[in-house]
Amino acid sequence: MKIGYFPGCSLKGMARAYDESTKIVAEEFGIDLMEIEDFNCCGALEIKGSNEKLSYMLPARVMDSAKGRFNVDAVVTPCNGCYHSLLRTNEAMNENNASKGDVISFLKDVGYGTYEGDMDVRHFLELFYNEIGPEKVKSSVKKTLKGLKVASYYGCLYERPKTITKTGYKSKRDDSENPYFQDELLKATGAEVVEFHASASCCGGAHALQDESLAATLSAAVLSSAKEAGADMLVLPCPLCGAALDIKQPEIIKAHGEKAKLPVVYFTQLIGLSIGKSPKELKLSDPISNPMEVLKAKGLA
Amino acid sequence: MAENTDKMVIDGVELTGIWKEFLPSRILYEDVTTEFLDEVKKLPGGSTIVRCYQCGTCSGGCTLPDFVDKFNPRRFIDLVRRGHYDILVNENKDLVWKCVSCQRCTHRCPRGVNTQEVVRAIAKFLEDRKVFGKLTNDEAFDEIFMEEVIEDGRIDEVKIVKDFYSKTGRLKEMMSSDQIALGFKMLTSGRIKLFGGKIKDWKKVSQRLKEELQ
Amino acid sequence: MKTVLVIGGGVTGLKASSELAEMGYNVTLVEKEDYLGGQVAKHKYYKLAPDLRLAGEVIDPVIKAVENNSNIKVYKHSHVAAVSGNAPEFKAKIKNSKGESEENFGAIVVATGFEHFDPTVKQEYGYGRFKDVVTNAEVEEMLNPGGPTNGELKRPSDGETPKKIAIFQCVGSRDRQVGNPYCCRVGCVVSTKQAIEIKEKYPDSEVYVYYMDMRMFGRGWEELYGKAMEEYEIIFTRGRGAEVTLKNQQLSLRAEETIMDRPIQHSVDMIILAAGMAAGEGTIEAANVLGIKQNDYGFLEPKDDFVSPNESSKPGIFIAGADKGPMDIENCIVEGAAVAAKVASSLKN
Repeated sequence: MKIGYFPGCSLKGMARAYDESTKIVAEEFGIDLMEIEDFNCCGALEIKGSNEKLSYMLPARVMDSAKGRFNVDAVVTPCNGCYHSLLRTNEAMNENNASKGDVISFLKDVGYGTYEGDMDVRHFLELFYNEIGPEKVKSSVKKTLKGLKVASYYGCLYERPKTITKTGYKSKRDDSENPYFQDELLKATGAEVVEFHASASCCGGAHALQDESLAATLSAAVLSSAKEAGADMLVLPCPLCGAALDIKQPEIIKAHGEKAKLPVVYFTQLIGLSIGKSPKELKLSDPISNPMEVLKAKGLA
Repeated sequence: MAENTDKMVIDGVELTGIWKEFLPSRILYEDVTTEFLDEVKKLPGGSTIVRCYQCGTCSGGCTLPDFVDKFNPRRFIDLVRRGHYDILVNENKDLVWKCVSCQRCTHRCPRGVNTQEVVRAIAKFLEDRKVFGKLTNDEAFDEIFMEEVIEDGRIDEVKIVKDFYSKTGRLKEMMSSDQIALGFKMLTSGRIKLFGGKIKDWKKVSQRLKEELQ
Repeated sequence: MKTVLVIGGGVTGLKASSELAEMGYNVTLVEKEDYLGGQVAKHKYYKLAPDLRLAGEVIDPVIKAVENNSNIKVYKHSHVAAVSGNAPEFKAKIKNSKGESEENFGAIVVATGFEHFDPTVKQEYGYGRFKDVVTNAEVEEMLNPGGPTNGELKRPSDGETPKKIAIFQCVGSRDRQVGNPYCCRVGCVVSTKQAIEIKEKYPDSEVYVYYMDMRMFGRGWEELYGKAMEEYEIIFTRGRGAEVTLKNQQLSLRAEETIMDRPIQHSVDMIILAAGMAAGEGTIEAANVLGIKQNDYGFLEPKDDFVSPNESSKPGIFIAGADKGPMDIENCIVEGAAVAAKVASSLKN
């Protein structure tokens, strides 16, 4: 299966650890990722709130390039935000949104004119769970993460809204109220997944800049509830949550105290670690929240 | 108010005359206008507002009330639909824009209202009417974001943060020692690249997107 | 005299069969289950709204009228596999585990009824994930002394009697997300009835109903609603259930008290989902075999809702009861009689 890989802007910037660990893990498990090199920004929430037509054109161009230039039948992205934008565009095109004609003529003008709403959009977590799965991870483990307690956090857009993610309706989608794909994969590495009721709560990341104190409050609620549950670190599948919970963590701690201090890593980094990849290649020193300290203490790095 | 001086007694207390002047009227003068509804409907993401049947599923499961008292998407929609502009502005303008886009509302709405986008549209409606008296953080961020996406095709996180602080007059904050230390750590670790990647042939796309905006 | 084929042995099909047989027609009744009585029998409905009389008092005579009539031939555990021909000369293949037979019919009545909506897709309510989130049909079974708990309301998780019970209205009804934008027409009254039954049996319990509108339009329904508030102190909250979670091993629900503009967090012992009515597999299968029109929701579409409510889109094929859309038992019985009259008059011509 040839899959177009859409990393999104964050993975080429502050979340490069997620980009690189995703590629390492994909390669190790035989997932052939074809990077859509000329990808553009998906438009995120900001374009969606400013101009509806553009909010479809930007993701459409990515999918058009995937189809026209790279000839793939599916696009996978590790970013919850990009995942949302792509699925939302698919849905609008399939529902014959008023902008559909304009989007198609835009693609004919500046792209390949191949996309009309028919792209199979996958989240890397979902794809990895369905195509590789916990069993294969388990049998590939070279260095068990036994002794490491993790809180598995998913964020919002990975499973919501079901109007576009089709959670509950479409097979191969996670449970929208009780996501478990990442939990199962992490358990397969030998790590202990703690019971953690904020796994699908909001980190406030969408407003990390515009409304810092509210975003910090929401982030602190997620981090502290993971810590209370006994986790050594928080694991997630989204670079935007990563930015909110990791890069902003010093500010969060300043406002809410040490209860919000917790290392944050991407799930691909831990899977990579368990199959024998080095912390260096997986960029485990990248997070501001310093996961290396606890990994070293547990003899895992 | 003065013309109605008939004696009114409630629970043995006379509320007419001078005392009445102290009691704000609880009567809601319903004067339904669809002017505001029509406006919100046309804003990006606003069209599904008409589907709402006020069941409270959005507000019942909303992330925010635990953190922002009185944040209530159902009520924002109701006020717009019934044209209660004053209540929307006076009591809700500092709430509406607080939405963090967690999508619980849209996710569960039994009527297919795209609640998150409708709430954003209502905030935009208020922004367009200049009720905030200044450029809001959301407006500022959206504007910069739009500019940078159209210009470069991708978002450079450092650039956008810098431009955002600059546009909202908070560049000084960005230069705090904490922020500089953070920036230095990211720069030396390679997480910040000073020269971001460019997309081949983006100029043509950029031009076309600019036309769309006109 | 022509024979009439009736598909479906629920209240409507039973009533239609016995009425036709009394008029002298031969009837072949085909039922997919190995019992008669449809959903009433399947879920052991205990008492019927609004009078709280035993369901058996209503359904047993209807079943007996069929079983005791020699003009009616009943095929249980069977289905109609194929139909050919036109009115009034139909040939139908009836299949069951014993084999297959082909018979001639002058007219066909489709009374395939409904199925209770399966709330699993409403993941926010946790049905299937939390044992103590149950459906209204499961509560009917529990309240029936002949049911699995011998008439006691018990929490599936630990077998205890719940003290605080919440009922969520409109689960899978008035919900365009699941493709069922219509009203189920019985949820309000059934929930009110069950709330009263629970309070009557367990006076110490607290019952809360979360609703959007109380649609008490049937005979005696509004009076029952009054009784629920006045005599049983059942709490009705205007707000649709938003989510169910587990907090410290107890069910916790969120909703909005829309009259107070405030979200509610409520810990309860059991949540009953008033699951609505959906077109059943039997109805969809019959529509395919017979080639008759369905509406957007899978229910059967009358030739004309006002003028010919019991005629399908094809001559000689008649429809009645809850396969046309949500309907209460009282009206299903009326429909059964009405379709019988329509069939009789059509066969006379």
